[in-house]
Amino acid sequence: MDRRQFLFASLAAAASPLAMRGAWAADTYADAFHQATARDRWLRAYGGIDHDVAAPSLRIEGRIPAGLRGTLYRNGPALFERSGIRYHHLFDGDGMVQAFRFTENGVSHEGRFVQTPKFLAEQAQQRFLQSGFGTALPGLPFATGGGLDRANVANTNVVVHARRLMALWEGGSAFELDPVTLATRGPVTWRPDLKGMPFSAHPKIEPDGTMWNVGAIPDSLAIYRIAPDGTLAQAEVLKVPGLVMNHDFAVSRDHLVFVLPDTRLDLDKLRAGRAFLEALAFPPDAPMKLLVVDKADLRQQRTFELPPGYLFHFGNAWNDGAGTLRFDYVHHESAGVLMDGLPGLMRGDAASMPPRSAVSMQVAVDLASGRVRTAAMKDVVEFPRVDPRVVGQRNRHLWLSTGMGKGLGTLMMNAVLRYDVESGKRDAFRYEPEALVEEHVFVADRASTREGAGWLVGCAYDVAYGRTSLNVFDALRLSAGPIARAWLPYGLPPGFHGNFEAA
Amino acid sequence: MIRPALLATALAAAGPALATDVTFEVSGIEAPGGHILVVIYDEASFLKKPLKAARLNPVAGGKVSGVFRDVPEGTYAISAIHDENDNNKLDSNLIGIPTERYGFSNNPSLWGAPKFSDAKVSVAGGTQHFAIQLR
Ligand SMILES: [Fe+2]
Repeated sequence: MDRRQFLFASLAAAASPLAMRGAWAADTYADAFHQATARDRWLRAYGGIDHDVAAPSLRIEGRIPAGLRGTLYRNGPALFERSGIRYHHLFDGDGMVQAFRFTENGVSHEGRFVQTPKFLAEQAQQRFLQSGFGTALPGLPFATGGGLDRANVANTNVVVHARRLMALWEGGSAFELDPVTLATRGPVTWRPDLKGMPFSAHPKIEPDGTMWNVGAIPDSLAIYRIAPDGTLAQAEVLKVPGLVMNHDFAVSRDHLVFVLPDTRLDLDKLRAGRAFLEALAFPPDAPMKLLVVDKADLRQQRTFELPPGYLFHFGNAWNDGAGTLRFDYVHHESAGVLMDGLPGLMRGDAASMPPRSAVSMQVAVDLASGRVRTAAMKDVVEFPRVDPRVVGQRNRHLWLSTGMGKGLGTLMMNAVLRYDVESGKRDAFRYEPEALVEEHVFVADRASTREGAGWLVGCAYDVAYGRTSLNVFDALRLSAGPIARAWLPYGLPPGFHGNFEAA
Repeated sequence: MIRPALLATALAAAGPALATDVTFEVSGIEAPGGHILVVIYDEASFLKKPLKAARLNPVAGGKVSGVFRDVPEGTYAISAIHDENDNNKLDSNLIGIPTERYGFSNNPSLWGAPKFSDAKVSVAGGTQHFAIQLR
């Protein structure tokens, strides 16, 4: 055993029971949240669900396009409470994968929890056995000697690659699921020496089928390239001093693009039993680092500066052929959503949630001179998506979720939006004012090769009705409203990310 | 009643002066294969050169125990790993995260590289017992 092998034991937590004595008694999230749902009905969407659900035939308004056949898979945290304890952060909930199947006979829905070892063990005992990313439970570790997979909730995204359906988290392995039954097959180990490695929730699949992904631990960034046939083509670990975590990235023809907020991790707090989230700090007004890695030789890296802020998501990136790298990401003024907003949501404290401020940032990097230009769009947005046919290439259209109007629209998202990034024109649709809108996913119409030809599909939780709808738009005419809505006979907790697999 | 002469004989038979038997128990074993490797270090040898080592058969879901005999009085740290594939080391993946379970005396938090001071225990007189939880 040598010391070096413990350097990454930083992902291995063993919380001291003494350090967290009394934390159970002090847990007020569950009570506070349930009291708040009487005042703010929309919070009920985040009450969670504790069982698998299925609805074989959804009630449809409008008409499902004949070309739209296949399955929309979605993922998100869905179970938040056990034995009276409620998680302190939305990211901690167990992942539930939704499958919306579009066939000649209509639309069906099935939702199943990912059967991670954590979920199975906690189901068997009907209590939490792990601390979460944002929730320190007394005496319960977040991670173990084997890394974070024991805490893996597989709750962030679900992707199909080479016919393999995978539920994704950020800090550990992908979990493979049966695409038909959604039964969990187990963690994916791409190669024996990659066992238990972080595999992020935002892989990028290029039009030729190559899938890139990353995984971050402090000071190190793993890069994965998976061939179109689903076999591992490349896995390397880059040293990135100061890196703590990384949620998303972008690929262009030539580059992998990362934006790294200045992030501090206080190991002493972790050792004292605080949650990972509580050990994070973000120095105010520190510029973000833009890291550009050459796809052909991962050792070729350049760094640039971006304005201070925080981010979760990228839309797309492309090289213009004249030495300029262009990309877009959703720029947050601070890490407030992560640090305060989502904990506030979990205890039903809307007043503590920072006003939403994230905007789409369009970036151009002159690689020769190092000059970086940024242009912020005006709408408050999240969840950028592009036509999968232009990933890594020049894109004209960008689809996002947004909040419009007063009330809930200032706090959460109630609308969908398309930017024509060439003309600057916008095309938007606002749902019923009391709606919680998820990420909407672009689905290509294979009858056309034109970028944007297709549909935008996504879920919205209707607060007054307490039910979730699945909505289909003409992707280039959002303002015309949905051409079809399929209503679930129940509400689902609003999820994070998903993808469509054509039949 | 024990007479002083007999008591002196009994103490002498226990081994060198000021040496101790260190017993340990390792829990948190999950898999049945391989071996549990338990190692005792002092500060100078910590994670470099074992002073004494034990190799025990695992009991899945159970505990194993053993003893280091005649440990001189002093300050030590004990590590335990479950060497599931019997290659005599704690395996790590490409990014450096251990992929086998391990633990230390004192059961310190495993965030970051454990320091000797996090795992150190005092050994003095008679028999001493330490429990190590694998994580
Ligand atoms: Fe995300």
